[in-house]
Amino acid sequence: MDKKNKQILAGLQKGLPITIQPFQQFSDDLGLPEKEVITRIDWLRKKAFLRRIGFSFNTHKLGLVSTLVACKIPKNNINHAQKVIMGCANITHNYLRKHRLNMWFTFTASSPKKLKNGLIKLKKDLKTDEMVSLPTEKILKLRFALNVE
Amino acid sequence: MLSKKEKEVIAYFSVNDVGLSSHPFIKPAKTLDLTEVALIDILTNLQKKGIIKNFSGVIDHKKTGYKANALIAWNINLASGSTKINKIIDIFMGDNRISHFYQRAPNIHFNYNIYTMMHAKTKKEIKDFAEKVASECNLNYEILFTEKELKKEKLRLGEMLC
Repeated sequence: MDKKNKQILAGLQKGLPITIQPFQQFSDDLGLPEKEVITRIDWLRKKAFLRRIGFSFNTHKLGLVSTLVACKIPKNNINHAQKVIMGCANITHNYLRKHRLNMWFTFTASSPKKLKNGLIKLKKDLKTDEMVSLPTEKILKLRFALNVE
Repeated sequence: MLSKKEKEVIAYFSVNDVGLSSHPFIKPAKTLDLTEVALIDILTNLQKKGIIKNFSGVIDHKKTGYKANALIAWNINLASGSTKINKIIDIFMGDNRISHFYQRAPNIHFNYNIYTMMHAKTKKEIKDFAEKVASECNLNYEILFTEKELKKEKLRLGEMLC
């Protein structure tokens, strides 16, 4: 990856201006022609260095509630659990982690009551005997600007 | 309160990325039955209200060399007046490798109240970091390395806001 692409990735992580021509202003700030920047971003996306460009929302400001859930899922039940989770719109992230509680996912709902009931149903569907919910109390940092070398 | 149109805009961009062109908002504006300028006004307003967290690019950390990823759970006394807590907050806020830093209600089966996601080149880098912070600040912690990503999707807000 060349210097310009690194600059572009760093800039994209920091953010784009909300204007009619966001890439124009972004390119001006970098001192590069817009056409070149768009071609380079397209390459970065095709090569999968860049996952996406878009908006992200503060779900708490929208009145939604969320929790981090940890479950113990035996190896022979992981495929079943994964199917359940893929079909659940409240869950956006799911990871296997090296721990007794091996499956970790986030669960978001539009009210505390819906969250509680959703988790009760999910525990049954996942066929897990151990589920721990760790509700979000405060988001102290949510940022993603890694150094690209 | 959000207007009907604001909800539609949020729902749209919760599932659609922004396209790569000189005027990327023409197409979404058309779909949302708005002019380009009206859409920008709504988006700007939502950003002012803090509902739009950011408009940015998300990089693939694995592809960019961050092969070791872990959730680190910490047990930290948050009592005010503790000088330790300010030091810890400074460390987590100032370190680029920490992407998420959450306070959560602890559970008797998993008794940690602070959670950080860390991305590094090697597992050792994460272990060394946790070890150093824990010994300097006298903390209990547990590292949960990511073994496999099974799902990573955007939250479809349209279904949640109705």
